[in-house]
Amino acid sequence: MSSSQIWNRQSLLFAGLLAVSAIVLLTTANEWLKVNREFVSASQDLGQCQQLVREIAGLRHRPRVASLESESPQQTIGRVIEAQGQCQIAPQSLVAVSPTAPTRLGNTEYQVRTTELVLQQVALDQLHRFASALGRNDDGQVVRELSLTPEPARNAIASNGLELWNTRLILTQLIYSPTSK
Amino acid sequence: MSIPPAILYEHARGDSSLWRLSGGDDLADAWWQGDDLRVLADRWPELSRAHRASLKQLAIIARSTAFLFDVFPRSDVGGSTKRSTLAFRLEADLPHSAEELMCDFQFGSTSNSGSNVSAVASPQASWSSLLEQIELSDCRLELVAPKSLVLLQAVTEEHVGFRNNSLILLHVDGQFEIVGLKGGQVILWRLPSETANAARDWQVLQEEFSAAHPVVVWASREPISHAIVGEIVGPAEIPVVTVDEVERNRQFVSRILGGKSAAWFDLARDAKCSGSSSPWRQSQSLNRGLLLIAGCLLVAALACYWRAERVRGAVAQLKAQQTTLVRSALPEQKITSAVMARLKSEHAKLTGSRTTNKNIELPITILPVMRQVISGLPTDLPISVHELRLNGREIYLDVELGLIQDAAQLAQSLQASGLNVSPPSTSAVKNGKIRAQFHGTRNESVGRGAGSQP
Repeated sequence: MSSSQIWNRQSLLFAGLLAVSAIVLLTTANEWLKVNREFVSASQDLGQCQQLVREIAGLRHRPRVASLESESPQQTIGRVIEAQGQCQIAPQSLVAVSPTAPTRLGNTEYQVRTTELVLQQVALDQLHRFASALGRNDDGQVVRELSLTPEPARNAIASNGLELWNTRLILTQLIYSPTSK
Repeated sequence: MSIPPAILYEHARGDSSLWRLSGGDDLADAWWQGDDLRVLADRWPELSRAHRASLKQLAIIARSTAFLFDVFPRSDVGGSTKRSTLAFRLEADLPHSAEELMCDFQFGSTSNSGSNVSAVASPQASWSSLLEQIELSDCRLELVAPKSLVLLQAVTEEHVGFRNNSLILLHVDGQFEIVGLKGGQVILWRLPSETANAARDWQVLQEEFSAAHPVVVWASREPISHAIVGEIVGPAEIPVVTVDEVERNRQFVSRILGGKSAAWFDLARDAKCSGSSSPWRQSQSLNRGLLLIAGCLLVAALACYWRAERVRGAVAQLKAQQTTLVRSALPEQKITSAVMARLKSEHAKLTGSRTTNKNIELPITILPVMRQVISGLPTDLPISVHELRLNGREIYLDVELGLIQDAAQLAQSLQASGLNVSPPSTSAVKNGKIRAQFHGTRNESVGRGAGSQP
């Protein structure tokens, strides 16, 4: 009997079974490797996730240095008027509110937006409270510059006896605005 | 000294069989009763160990009932002598597949274009257990053949004339068989079940093979019964040959194994041709090997699947933990997918909005320095402020004072409030007053101590 007879139909059947088994093994082994890669990735993600969550918790306790959105001119005016009211500054003392468009700080992910405020006949104490009230919301807005000159009518004194001043303030808002966004 | 071959010989014992193993001097006759060769197979290892010296060569001579006979035109297989082709041709006539059969073939004269192929076959299933055990022992299987055909071959070696064209009525093991020979080829082999059937078959075949010479060969232990023979063959005078079946077969098997004669049919021929291992054995080994490997692969596949499922479960757990963690960190957000992306985005926003980037100069509030300036202006000193500029930490103060010493006092007072003030530049003005300009910056250590913003 020749060797070809050794490969009878039963052998061919078993060889077929072997081939199918090999394919099944390759498929399951490939699946296993894929799932293993997923496991490694998920483990790393969880580790990263835990670290990010810890960092987020820490970051939330820090003061805001930049806002996430640019404040609209209407909002800025509203903020100024509100602060003015809180500090009992007369409406006619607010001479000018001049917001500018945001500009990017070099190649950074930040933009800056300034608003110039001009006030007349304001007491120093009122001015300090006004500047505090403008930056009170923890939204990245601060009064960065202040220029103070005496009221031209020399020795202008308020009814409560305080000196009155003319002033120019620069309210600055720092905006976090990644360029990839 | 040569060792005589061992012969495993099947005797009829009623409807059952009696197997007898005989051989060399140290091999005592051993007997087993029963048709099932597995009983013999079970005992073979013990037997082969006990008679290792005698059981070197083995011939199996079995009853005709264990075999099937077929004859077909050679043209059916396109004149092929390839044994696998011939074996597959048997499937057309026999109720077995080629793989299930042990078989051997005998060819007619090739000069005759209409020649036939004779085949004797036996199902492997009944033999496999015994043959496997024989192979596992140190015994070489030399011959597997039907006893009646071995006997007839032995007879025709003496009576050469019978080979050419004869129709032989053979009585062996108490039963009649009809064998047709033509040109030394077995062209007919029938095993009638009863005497009446034998008579009818004989009549039919004698008419069919009218040119064949009828012969009677009586090989049974009981004396020849002319009445019974006459009942079958009729009144015609037919040559009768009487032989001792067992002794004659033993002698002829010795001749075959001695290489002095070749058996008409030897179902172990393939095993001998292919080397140490028989084809059914090789085939079985191959099949077992394939099955074993396939089984191993399937087990491995199952293990991979099981492992993958477990890892998949672990991945699901990790992702669930991740989602829970992110949801707890971002309770105000509805998170359904892209958990990590959302978390990274939130982290980036917080980092960008709540940390100072060293690459940029953050706007600094004037409030701390303004407080310091207000508290640093002495109340007991007449001061006329011309201008006050605050820019982040920096301060510029332009004042008019009564005396030049007042400038030093003012500078000292500002220093005391936590400002670093450079020496003022002073100049006299026309009304006798002094004009002084102060430049300064906020003292960082004082600022920090006060808990102010940078």
